[in-house]
Amino acid sequence: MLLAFLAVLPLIGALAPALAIRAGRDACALAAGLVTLTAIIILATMAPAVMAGEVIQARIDWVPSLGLNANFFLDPLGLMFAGMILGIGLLIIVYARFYLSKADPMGRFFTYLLLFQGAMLGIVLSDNILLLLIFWELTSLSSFLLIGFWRHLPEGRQGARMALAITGAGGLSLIGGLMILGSIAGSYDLTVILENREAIQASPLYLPALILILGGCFTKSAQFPFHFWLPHAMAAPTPVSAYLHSATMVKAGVFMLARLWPVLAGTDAWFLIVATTGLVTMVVAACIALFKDDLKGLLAYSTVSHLGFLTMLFGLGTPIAAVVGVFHIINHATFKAALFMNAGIVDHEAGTRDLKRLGGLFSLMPIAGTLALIAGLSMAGIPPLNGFISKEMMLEEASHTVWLGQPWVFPVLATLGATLSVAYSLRYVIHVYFGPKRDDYPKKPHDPGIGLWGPPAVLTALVVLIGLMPALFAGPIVAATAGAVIGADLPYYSLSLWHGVTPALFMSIFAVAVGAFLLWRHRTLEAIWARVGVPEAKGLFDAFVETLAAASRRLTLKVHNESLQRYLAFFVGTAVVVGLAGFFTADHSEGTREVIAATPVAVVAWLVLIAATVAVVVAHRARFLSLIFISVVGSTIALTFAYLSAPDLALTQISVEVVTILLLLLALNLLPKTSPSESSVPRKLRDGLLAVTGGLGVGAAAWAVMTRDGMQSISRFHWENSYSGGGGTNVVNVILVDFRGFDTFGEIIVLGIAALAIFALLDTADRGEAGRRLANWTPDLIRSPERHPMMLVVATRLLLPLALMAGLYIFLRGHNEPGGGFIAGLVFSIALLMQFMASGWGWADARLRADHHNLIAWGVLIAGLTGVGSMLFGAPFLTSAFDYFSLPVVGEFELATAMLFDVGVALTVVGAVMLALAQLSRVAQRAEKLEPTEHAMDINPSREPSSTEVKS
Amino acid sequence: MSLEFLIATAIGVMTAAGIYLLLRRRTFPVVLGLAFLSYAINVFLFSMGRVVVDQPPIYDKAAAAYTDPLPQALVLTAIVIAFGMTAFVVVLALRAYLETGTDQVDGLPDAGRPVEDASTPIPSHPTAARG
Amino acid sequence: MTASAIAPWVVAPVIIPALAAALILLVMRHKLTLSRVTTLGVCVALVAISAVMLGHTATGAVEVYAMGDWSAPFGIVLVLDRLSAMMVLLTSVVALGVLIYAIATGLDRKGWHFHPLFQFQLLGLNGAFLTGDLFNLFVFFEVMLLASYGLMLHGQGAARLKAGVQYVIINLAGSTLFLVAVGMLYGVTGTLNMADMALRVAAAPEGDQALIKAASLLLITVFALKAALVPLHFWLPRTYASTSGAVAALFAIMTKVGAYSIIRVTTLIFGDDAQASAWRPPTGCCPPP
Repeated sequence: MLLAFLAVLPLIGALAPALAIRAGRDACALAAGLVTLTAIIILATMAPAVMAGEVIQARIDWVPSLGLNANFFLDPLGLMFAGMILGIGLLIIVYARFYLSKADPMGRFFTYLLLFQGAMLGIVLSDNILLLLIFWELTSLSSFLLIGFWRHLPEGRQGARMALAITGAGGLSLIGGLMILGSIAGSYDLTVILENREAIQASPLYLPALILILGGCFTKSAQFPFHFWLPHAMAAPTPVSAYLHSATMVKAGVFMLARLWPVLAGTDAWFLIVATTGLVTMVVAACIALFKDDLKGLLAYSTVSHLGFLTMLFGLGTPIAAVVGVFHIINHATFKAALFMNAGIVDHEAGTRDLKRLGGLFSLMPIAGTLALIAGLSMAGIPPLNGFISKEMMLEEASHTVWLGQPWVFPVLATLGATLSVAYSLRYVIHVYFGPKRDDYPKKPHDPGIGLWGPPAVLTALVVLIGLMPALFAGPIVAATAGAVIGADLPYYSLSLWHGVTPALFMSIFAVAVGAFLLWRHRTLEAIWARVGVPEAKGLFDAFVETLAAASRRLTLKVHNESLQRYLAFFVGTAVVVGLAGFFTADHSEGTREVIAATPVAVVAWLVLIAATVAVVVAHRARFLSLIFISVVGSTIALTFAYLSAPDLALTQISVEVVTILLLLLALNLLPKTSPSESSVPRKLRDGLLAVTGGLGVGAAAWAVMTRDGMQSISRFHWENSYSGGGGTNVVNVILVDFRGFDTFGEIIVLGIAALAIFALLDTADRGEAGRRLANWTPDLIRSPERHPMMLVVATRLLLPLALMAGLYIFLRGHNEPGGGFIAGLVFSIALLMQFMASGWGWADARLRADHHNLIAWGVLIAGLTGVGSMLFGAPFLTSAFDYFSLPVVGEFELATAMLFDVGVALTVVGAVMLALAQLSRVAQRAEKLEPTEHAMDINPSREPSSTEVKS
Repeated sequence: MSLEFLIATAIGVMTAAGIYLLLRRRTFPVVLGLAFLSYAINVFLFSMGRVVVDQPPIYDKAAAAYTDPLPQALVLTAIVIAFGMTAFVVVLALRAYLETGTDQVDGLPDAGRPVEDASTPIPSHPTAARG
Repeated sequence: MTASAIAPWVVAPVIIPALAAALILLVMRHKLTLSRVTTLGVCVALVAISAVMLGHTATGAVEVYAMGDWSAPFGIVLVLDRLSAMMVLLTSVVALGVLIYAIATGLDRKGWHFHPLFQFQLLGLNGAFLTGDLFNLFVFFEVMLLASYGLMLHGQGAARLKAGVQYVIINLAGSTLFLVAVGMLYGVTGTLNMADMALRVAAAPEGDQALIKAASLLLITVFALKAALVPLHFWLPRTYASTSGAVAALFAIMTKVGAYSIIRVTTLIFGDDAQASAWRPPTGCCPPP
């Protein structure tokens, strides 16, 4: 468990500097340092056991069903990397404290740094590959934050973006590869995967998995041709560069190569891809490094080159090469981190990193100069420093590697790489520190305080110590780690300065001699280099991204053309295809239910319905006409319901029909009266095809269900319990207010919301653009001279009490006979609407003081509280109760709580309908520029003749 | 000809009409299309309880057979919901027309351009129109 | 069915917003501060209640709440299990955040009825997550959608209105298909309760499989439309882009209703025993742990 804690410690600890910055910059750095130090101490307590061969594990089940567990393990490889990550991390924290200026937000810096540290630690400690992938992505993200830390610099932002794009894409590739690996091995646990070498290499998916995994490793480790992001990441503050590009971020790819070495290495594919890529990267990057004038640029390409070096070693696939690889990981981390920090010191003290403006600094900065000299010589591979030993061993391995039958390719190119490496390393040292002193440095250079030179000094000391006594200082960890990488017994090797007179020795001597010569002729070479003109990868990358973005923008705009027609066509098409696909991929048998013979009346009704439907489609552009036809359809359907034993439906359908048509008429008054003919013939054909297939599908489904018996419906229960349990004989109504009262509750809320939304929509209709349009609106229909015809007024007045009575009757008998709250509500509404139509909204509004909002609210409230009422008696929501009472005259009658619920329904319906229509007609009135009139009729016999003039 | 056949075909025809109108270019026919679809679906839902003549679902102990009351209740709910939705969409269409001056649904300005087929490329700028 | 102390609370995420909305409408339509306090109070209460409910279900307990005391499958039941409890909690938490933001930015002042619509939206969401009845799911979808139309258009403006027309019409078409699918399933299996349907689908005769499968796939198509899955995603970008930030944030949970319903329907109704009509994502895509 301590291990799991170790893995997440920096992530949790990332909060510490963010909080501590309030206490000052020292406290902030101290907080970050303490977190790292704690982690180092924990790691140190585990180190002896790991070095003794034990593998420490911590297992926490997270989502076991997905194979995702928070499993960690610590073996020597993990120990070495964790040690580097934390050790160099601590040095970087010290260095950064003194490097960052007062203007830099240090709390944020250390928070990002610890986040990154935690992510790296997670990678090297994860046992579960899914967990590892999470940490892998986390390194991409946190390095993005670090690289772009100076967000005011455009290069910083661009570099960060490029790093994220490349390593992020690589991360996707790695995910794919590791998933394949996991599914071959049958587990997502690394420890299990590592034991399945034979199964993995025999699998046909080996090569895809390998390529995908290498895609992740090569992008992270900046291998050719994905190398170009790394130099651009140099826009980061130097501590970040020193950390990311020496020991951590870019080593993650190499770590993966080492980690998966036991299962992936040893095949031809592995050798050809990995070793070749490594070799090419090593030479190409070293070549570019020689011509970089920016110190950090030089170091960046040198890093790429050395990563190629490491990749090549692991790619060789031989155990001894893996040993050398492990050894060089340590060596490279020490001298490269030291050199990066040194570059930072030069930048800090001399004010520039441009090699062309530097030189002769040694006497001004003796301490920094000495450190740079030692670390630089180590990078060049000069004895007796650690870089020499690992380079020697690398050349030795290269010297007897045969590539595609050619024995000379590897030795020659490796020597070339080493030569270039000597040249750029010496260039760093000589062109910065030696040569004539200049008098045009941007700043006055002098040695920095110990805070800045201390950390690289520690590393430089290691460079010397490992070089002089490799077996003592690096031997045990190299042996243990290499053992973990290889997963078998170690081959014979010797870590020492003197290997005797070997081919490698001559290659080394050649490299140093020619490298020195190259530096001597550097000016000439530079001119040639400039003339050849190497393509700038950044430009290509930017152009690629630009093209991609433009293409995606074009595609998006083409697909999302904001046409509702297209969206609907896709929806209908999908539904048709999906429905048909579902139907034809399973068994279907014809129904056996007896059908009912159609009567002539039914056929006539059918003909009317079809004719009206066709008429609407044909005449849909003449909008009033189509409204008339559609009301024929609605009425026919109402009659059909009546005929087919559904009186409630018939009543509902017809009353809804009335209100809907009224609403459509009111709206159409203000809308254009015709639709222009705009559809092209192909479009009409396409729509027709969709319509016909959709219609056929639904019709066929109806036919298939109607002609089969199906399973016993749950409605038998409703039928049998309607009277005894629900207290009513109209089963439909009992279902609505009792068995499925909850549906009805939702349904009235839908109506209520619709009315509220309509109110909110139309309330603003007289403002802004819409208000102007309304003000300029002119009636485009012939108006009746009579605004409120007397006949209509009188008739509706007489009808009002009758209609209200009818509504009440329908409401009261609803529980037992066709009717109920909803229909009653609609009948009430229609009765009221007739008054409004006949006498105008002004007159009627003044006489009907009921607020429609309140009606809706009361309706929902009554229905809801009726339901809650039952809860007070310990019964569930909406439980009904009923009893029979007897009154003189009226006789026996029934009172049920369901009836109260129905009152709520009726109130909501009336409120919603009236609110919507009142609001709509208010808009219409405004458009017609009619003043609300107080008079109920245009011609009123009781009024003075003078006021009876007819308005036009 | 059976009653079931008449009903199924009527549902089919109304659905087809609904879909066709739904795919028109102006809000009003689209609203008519939705209304048609809701007619069709109400009858469809109703037909899922099978067709029975002259046996209204009024409980009577003596009744030997009855029509399935449940789909009727469902259709009632569906009618009401469809009513609310239709009312809302009509008002929304009107309101959008008042605000924007067009009742088109394809997001194009109301320039009266007859081209609307997706296969005909819509020129994005004048130079593209020549090609 | 187990009677426990938690049982009455299952219905709370549905009742509370409904009553609160009605009350706001009735007595505080013109009192902004009071409305704000009420909605905030409701949201906080919902977070608390749903957190308790989630804690209750953590042991794997499933609460079935029979509306109107009519036992399943004859009445409508609410089902509280870990998944639905989690979704309700998620809704409440998101809603609380959105509400605070909306109040802070004064969004609720930019038009009528923001607070009742917000409550109704919660009612619809919670109902959809909790119900165990297919037709009732439809009803709550509609409650949720209509409230979302209102919220989406809140504040108005030409762009919002144009996008709103598309959003509303697409969803109305979707609701139509929902009814087709539910109707077919009822026609063949004779039930609306999801758990009961699972049993009946498993026991359905061979010859009914095609209809069941077609209906279930149509149902999933509807949910896919709500979840904005390609190629049914077209409505989403414009809708979200043209509405206010707070409402778009609340809508984030709306697509999850689609996803949730797909999970519910595929595993519950069309799960392991669903014969040929079973439609599930292929299993075995990941190795056994």
